[in-house]
Amino acid sequence: MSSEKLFFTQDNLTLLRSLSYYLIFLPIVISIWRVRHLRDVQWMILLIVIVNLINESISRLIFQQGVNNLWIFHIYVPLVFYLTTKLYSHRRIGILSKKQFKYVFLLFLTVNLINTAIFQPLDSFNSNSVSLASSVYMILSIVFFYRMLRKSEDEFILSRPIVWFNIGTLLYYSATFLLFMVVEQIISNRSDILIAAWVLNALFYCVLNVCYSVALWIKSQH
Amino acid sequence: MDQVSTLTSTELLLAGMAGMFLLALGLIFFFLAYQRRIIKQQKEHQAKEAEYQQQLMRANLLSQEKERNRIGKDLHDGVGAMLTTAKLYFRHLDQEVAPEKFTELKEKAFGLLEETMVSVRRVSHDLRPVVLERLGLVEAIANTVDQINHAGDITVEFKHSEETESDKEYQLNWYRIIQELITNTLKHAGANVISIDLKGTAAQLQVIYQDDGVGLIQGTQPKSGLGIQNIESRLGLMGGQLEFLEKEGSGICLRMTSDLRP
Repeated sequence: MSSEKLFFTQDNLTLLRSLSYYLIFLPIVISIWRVRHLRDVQWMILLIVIVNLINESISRLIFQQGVNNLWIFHIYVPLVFYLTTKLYSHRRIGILSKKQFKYVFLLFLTVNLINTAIFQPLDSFNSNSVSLASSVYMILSIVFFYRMLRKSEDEFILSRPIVWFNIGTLLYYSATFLLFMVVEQIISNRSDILIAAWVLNALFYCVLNVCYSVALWIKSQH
Repeated sequence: MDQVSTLTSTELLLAGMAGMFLLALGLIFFFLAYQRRIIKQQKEHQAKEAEYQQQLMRANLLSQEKERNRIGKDLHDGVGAMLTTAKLYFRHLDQEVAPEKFTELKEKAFGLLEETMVSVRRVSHDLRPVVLERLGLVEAIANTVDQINHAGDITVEFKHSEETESDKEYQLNWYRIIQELITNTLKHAGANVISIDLKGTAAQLQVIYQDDGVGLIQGTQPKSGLGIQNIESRLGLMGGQLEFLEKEGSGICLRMTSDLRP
């Protein structure tokens, strides 16, 4: 049996999914511990983590009932998009102006609603919206790094929470972009591809939450 | 066949996902490494700038000490000696001397006092040129140029635009700069002609200084001399800068600019 088949199994997927779910609690525990040191950017990151936790918890609960839980993502994706783009439009970060943030969010919301209404209804996974959101996040995170280079601020760039948030965002959404692009095509095919892909997704989600944890752990100098 | 194509699809998807992850990771490392390099370069540049400013300050202090020593020597050797001698003559005048001797001593004493006054005026002029105080920068430079041309060793051409109103301290700085340049040319350049072109605009003063002397010594940095560092220091105080321009033939050509007031 190939190592691939040994690793990408249903059992491993269940294990990793559980791990990635419980790892969401890590940034929350850290933020409770460091609550006095949290700055406004970190509060916004914490809000995103909380929304992630609520989404994961509710979707797991509903799934365990044997009911279709995919409608949750139709609410979750635009909500996280709103919070993430709002974070990037924060005055300390300044990747988007307030006006740009408004237009970007409204445009995304419109596309999302049209997608839900016409292409991917509530009982199906809104991979189109997720792919679009992932593209925007990747662009925003790359622009952030580019602006960071142009400004050339201080040496301890990794002491800024937003940098860790940005690292996590770029890593996770780059890695899973391809998955969300083709998930519709592979859902109806062999399940072993799906299992392999979701195993990797769970792994990358762990990386994302570790980065969020570091972002909330850091005592912001700014 | 179907199984093979499915496996290939799996591998492709996984490879794609892993590839994108590694690409993102590589991008992050690149940004972090590049940013550190930029910061390191900035720090090096700042250190060099700080060292250079210190050099300018040292040059400025050295120059001031030299000037003070020269004035002190002038006062001691010139004025002091003449006054001492004059005092001796006045002491002799006090004693009973023959009328011819009295007149001779009186003439000598007055002569010495006259020379002392000339020396004091010269020292005072060096400290604060009267022409500059009363008539402005252009007249002060013109006066210096006339004195040098009168000596006949070298020809100085001085062109200027309409005088622009500038700060008194800045005018003194510019006067000292021109003096320094002319002194350098006279001492070291072996030039026949000096050209000074002064232009004022609404916001800036510009001077182009040229001579046809030996130019800079081969292999030396243009801004390494004490005199040039002094000039740069003075220009720096006025928000100005110094440029060495290309020149046909031998000699030097400098373009200096400054603000008109603080």
